[in-house]
Amino acid sequence: MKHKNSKRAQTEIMGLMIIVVIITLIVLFVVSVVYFKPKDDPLQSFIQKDLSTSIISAMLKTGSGCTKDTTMEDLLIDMVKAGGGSTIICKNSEKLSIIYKDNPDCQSIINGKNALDCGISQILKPLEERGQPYHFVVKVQNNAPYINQSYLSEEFARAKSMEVTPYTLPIYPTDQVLEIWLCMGGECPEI
Amino acid sequence: MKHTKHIKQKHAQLKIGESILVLIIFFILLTMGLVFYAKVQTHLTKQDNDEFNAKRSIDMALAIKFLPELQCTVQATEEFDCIDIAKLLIFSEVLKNKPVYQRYYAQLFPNAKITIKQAFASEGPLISKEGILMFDNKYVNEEQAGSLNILFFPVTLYDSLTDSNCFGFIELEVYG
Repeated sequence: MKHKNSKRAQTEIMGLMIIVVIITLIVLFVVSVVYFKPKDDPLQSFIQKDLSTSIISAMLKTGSGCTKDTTMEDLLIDMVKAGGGSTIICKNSEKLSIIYKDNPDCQSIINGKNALDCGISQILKPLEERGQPYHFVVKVQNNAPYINQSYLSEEFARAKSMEVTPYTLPIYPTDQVLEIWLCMGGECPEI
Repeated sequence: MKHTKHIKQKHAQLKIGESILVLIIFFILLTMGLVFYAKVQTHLTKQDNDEFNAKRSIDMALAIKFLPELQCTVQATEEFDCIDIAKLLIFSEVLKNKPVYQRYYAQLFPNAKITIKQAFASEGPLISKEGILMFDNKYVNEEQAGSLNILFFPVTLYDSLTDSNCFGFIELEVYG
């Protein structure tokens, strides 16, 4: 009788232990999920959103160096109107070749498209120097891109950037809209 | 009689052993709990600290971009994301020689270093390659700093003498 009781007590203790272990595991799981889950980095999201728009808006206002009063925006619009080429002939382009003699894109500048390539490569250079991957695309709606350049280090070779919206420029007098995409952190998602 | 005493003694020893075992297990569990709690707290404190530093960096970045001392103005209208080079050069000169101003800006941008650099200027470089150092208010070394956020923000640099815009950026180093 005594032996039977003791065996029953042992089985109950075993059951209790199993329950305690299961509860402990559940508590540990909940604590790790609640406290150790990675939070959104406000700095990274600020950089990704702000940097892309700021670079494009500052780029468009920048003087191109092709002629005295043409900005990068003028050259972009001219490139679209000329179907990827340029109708603007640069007058003081030697200056650019001398200032940026280390940049092959800034040598032998003849027309607006050459000056545009020089400006874009020079403006996006700081991103490369900082190892910041990017994908820069200039296109008109569903057409093939006029400019498509990227810097993706090995680490980010297959990375996709977070959702971005393009900077748009209307091409007057046509009803076309120029889209300028600058995706930070990796390749642009489906454009 | 002697045999009963011996059995009672053994029984008591067993009970003491049991109590000691229970106490040992209790203290082991308590220690494990404390270690776990300490780890969670350390992790949370680090996370809070990182978040605070990130927000501080964003606040500073926005403050620099909208500093009226440097912003371009066209017919009394402030231009967004634009720094007037003439204002910038004078401002950095004034700041170098006036400790009162240095103290004021050290409060605005504590433990941070701000440099303005130029990336593309069609009319030739207006700023040296190293850029213009605006503030260097850091009071810890890079090795001592708990965290270091380096941000850079593109801006238009306006040269009022040639009436031309060039492309530059603000480099902000915030030490935690």
